[in-house]
Amino acid sequence: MASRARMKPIRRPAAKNRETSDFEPCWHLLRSAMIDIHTKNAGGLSFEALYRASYKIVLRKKGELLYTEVKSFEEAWFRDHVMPPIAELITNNLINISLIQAPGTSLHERRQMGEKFLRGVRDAWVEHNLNMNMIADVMMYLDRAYTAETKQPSIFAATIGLFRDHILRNTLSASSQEQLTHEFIVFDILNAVVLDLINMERDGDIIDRNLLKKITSMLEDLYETDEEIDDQKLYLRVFEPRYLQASKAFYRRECERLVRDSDAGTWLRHCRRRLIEESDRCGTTISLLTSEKISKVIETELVMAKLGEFLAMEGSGLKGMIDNDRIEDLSILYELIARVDPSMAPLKATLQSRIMELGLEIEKNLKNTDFSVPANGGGADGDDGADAVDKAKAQPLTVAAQQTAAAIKWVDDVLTLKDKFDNLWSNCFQEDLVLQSSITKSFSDFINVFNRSSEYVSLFIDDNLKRGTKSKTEAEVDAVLDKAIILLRYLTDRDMFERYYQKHLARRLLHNKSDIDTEKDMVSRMRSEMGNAFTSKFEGMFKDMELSKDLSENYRDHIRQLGDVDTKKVDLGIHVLTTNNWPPEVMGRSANQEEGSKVQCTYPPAVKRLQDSFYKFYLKDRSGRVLTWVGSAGTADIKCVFPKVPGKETGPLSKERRYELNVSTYGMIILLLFNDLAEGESLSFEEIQATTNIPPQDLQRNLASLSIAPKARVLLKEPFSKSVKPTDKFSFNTQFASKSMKIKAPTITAISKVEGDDERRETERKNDQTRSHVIDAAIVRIMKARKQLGHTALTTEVITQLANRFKPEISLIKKRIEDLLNREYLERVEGETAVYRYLA
Amino acid sequence: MSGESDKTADSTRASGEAEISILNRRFSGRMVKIIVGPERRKWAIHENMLCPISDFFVAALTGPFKEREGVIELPEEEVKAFDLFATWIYRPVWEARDLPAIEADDNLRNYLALYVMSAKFLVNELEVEASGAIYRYYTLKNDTKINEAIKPKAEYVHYLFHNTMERAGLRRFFCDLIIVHCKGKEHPSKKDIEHWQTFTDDRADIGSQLMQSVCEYISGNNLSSLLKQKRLGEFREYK
Repeated sequence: MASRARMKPIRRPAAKNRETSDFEPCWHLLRSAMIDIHTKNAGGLSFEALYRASYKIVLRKKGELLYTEVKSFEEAWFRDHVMPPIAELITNNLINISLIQAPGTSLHERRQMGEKFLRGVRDAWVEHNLNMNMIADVMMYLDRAYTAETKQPSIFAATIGLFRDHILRNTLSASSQEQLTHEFIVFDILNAVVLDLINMERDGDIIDRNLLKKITSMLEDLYETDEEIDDQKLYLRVFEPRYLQASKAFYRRECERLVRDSDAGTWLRHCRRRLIEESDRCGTTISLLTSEKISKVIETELVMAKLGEFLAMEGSGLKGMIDNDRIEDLSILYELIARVDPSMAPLKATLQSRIMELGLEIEKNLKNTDFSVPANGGGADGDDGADAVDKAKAQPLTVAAQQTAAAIKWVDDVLTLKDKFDNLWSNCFQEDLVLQSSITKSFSDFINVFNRSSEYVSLFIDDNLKRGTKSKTEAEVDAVLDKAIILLRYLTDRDMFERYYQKHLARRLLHNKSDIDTEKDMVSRMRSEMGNAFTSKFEGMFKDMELSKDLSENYRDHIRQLGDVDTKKVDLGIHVLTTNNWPPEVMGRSANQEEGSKVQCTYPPAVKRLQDSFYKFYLKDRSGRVLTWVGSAGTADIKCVFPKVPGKETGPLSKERRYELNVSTYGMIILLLFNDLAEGESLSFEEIQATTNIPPQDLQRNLASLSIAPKARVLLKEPFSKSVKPTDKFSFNTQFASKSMKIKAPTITAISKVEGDDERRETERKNDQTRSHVIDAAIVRIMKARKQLGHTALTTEVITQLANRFKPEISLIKKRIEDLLNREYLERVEGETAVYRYLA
Repeated sequence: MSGESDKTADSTRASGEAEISILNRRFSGRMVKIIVGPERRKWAIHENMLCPISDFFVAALTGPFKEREGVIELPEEEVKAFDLFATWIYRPVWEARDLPAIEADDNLRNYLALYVMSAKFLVNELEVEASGAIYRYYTLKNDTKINEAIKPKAEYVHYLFHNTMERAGLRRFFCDLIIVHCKGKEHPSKKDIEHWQTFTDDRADIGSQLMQSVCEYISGNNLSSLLKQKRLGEFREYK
């Protein structure tokens, strides 16, 4: 036997003979058993006998010899019996097809040949693996007592590696019958065939997955060396890099094709399908070790590579998805982007700009509507059927009401847009927090770019609360209030909103236009959203209203007890309003009056007596208070008697007519003048003004309501026209008749409407004034605490403190600081630029 | 490979009935017939008791060899040693009973055979236990001093050296014993010298191991202290 030559010379001659003689019979037994194992004849062998034979060899210190004998036996067996059938599979044809990708072969041919080759490799591997396991079992004691001690690869590792060294890393060309034309190793062919088959499957072919799985698990079981170091699996070191590279190329081509031929929707679904497919493939065909890496390949090559181009596609791109609410598309898109970019940058940017665009579009539409309204309202008849209803209702109120409608349309549109994006957010974006904040920011941006947003939101609430009590159910009103609060959150100029809301609320309360419980509900929502300071005025208004109600009743009781006949049965209902809580307009402190002396109109003696009587009653419990009578804000119910018109025998004019007329306080003062007038006499505008001292504008409006609108035309104007001029004369309309007993004179101030540009500038001016005071207060507060502060730091702090109320202009802050320097609240710190010190 | 034979029908059983499952796992499955020694003494042992203790049994019973039928012949093992082996195998069932203590020299021989057998079949745990029992036999109650009344027989030393690998811990222990028993013999008798000859006769490795012990002794190391638990750990032949 050739191996005997490798035996080490033994130094102890005494032991030599006995121990050598032990080896021969044992090795002989083992050798013939190994042949039986390879030829599948192991069934009759005794494992114990074989184990004992190898045990004895090792015990007699012949482990090294046994180890080399087993190895060389297996090498020889491998060369003679395992390699030849594999070599036969390696033909020029196979090489041409797999490595060189020669043209002219059909897909079918390629697949068949590839699978045949893989099957041959698999069978040889399965066989080899099984046999080596059995031999390793027999050599178990050798491994434990000798191999491990000497730090050599185990018998199994040393023999299983034959497959790697002699097949995978071999060309096998020497043993092949044909003269092969190319340099290669079998591993290259194996990889190429596997990758080719997988690409076929990606293209829709059906392949033998189990076969591939066996091949890849073979590569997982083999290592670079016999040391079998964990991360040196052939699978990881050789196959996987090539697999990833080939996949990369495949998906790069696929992505280029898609961006050329398909739309974004197809691409999205394709990406999703590929991700699932590849992940499944790792389980069924390749190895789970590759799952994450192959996902990364798809993410870079298929998702990210042309992301921008797909998203920008006309119609099917992101814009189209958003505009057409393509829920599924957006859901997939979100999932894909979430995988590759948790910051959501690509989605976020488009989403934001789209919201901004749509928001600005709302504003643009509104401007168009505004433009068309005066044309309809001003003309005698509308040419548009849809406008007819609107117009009929709005007729006496003209343009103003339609502008109000525009405001409501704006809010509705914004809310609809908000609903749309909320819907996308919860249905497609898995309620992603990053996207939520960017959506919110975009909404806030475009809403605040629109300079009327505060007013419009308030008007929207006004409209709903006024109508709410009539036609809407509680749940509907509730939903509307919720929406209003949502919009409120977006507003940065909250002080502007406060101002408008105060004005609108005052009108609703004084004219009893809305349900007080709903009003309180709304305000309490605002409180929880924006804090007590924001709603304190509104709550004060509610309190005034309640106290006034009690006061009126008490006063009525008081009068009844007195049995005072002087009042001529004038029934007084009074609202005592605390000045600070109510808007200046309502309190009769409009801009011009603020500057000049307060004009108090002259009340008729009967009314004056009533006022004095009430004031006396009021001061009984509250000394030192001053009451100012606001004629412009009140109303009066007047019972009027129209005597029978002489000469008329039939119709309503033939009888005496009694009506209850509801007019403003000023209206009452005017009408009372006509009580004292003889029949046929008239009063001029100037006369009326001189007597009553009602401000000319108010007078003009009230006279108009009593002399122009047909349903309450109790005065006749000379000359008759559509507007009141200072030169007009007025007389009692004896011919007046009405079908209803109670008549309400139309009042213009009772309607909340959009401000005209002048009005709005006025409101802004007033608001800026208030802001100046608020900023002053903030600066002083900050400086008092800090004593000394730089300009920039101070500005920043002011902005932070006021963020909850409004966003102050930097220039305004600067102006206020200068003003405070002048007023010596602050001083500049010498030697340092732009640092201030607080002066106590 | 080890433990694969545990995968019997019971592996699907619910884990709730823990007590039953442990016994059941061991005692379900087939019985293996083991025929020991030239006298062909038969044992019937649960496959699931054998396989967890040694890969030898796993390979024998689950491989394609003759033993797959459930019969293992161990013609070269000793019946008494296998008796101890079987006792130890079923020890978990008798609530973790130690190996019975060694009462006399005759008994010791079986423990040496058990020590050799457990090394052969790769049952490390039993290897340690068997060497522990042997150690306790040669030492006094507190395990630290050698009982000078019991001399190691040359026959045993020969058996040990013939059937163990070079690094076996017990080899060293026996040589330590021999040196300790030489203490005080300034003028060894002829009988002593003859006795020593029987030790080293034909065995160079015994002589070499003895020299190691002598070296340690004359270097001042107290052998009996070396015999403490610390050295016991070295009885394990392989890691």
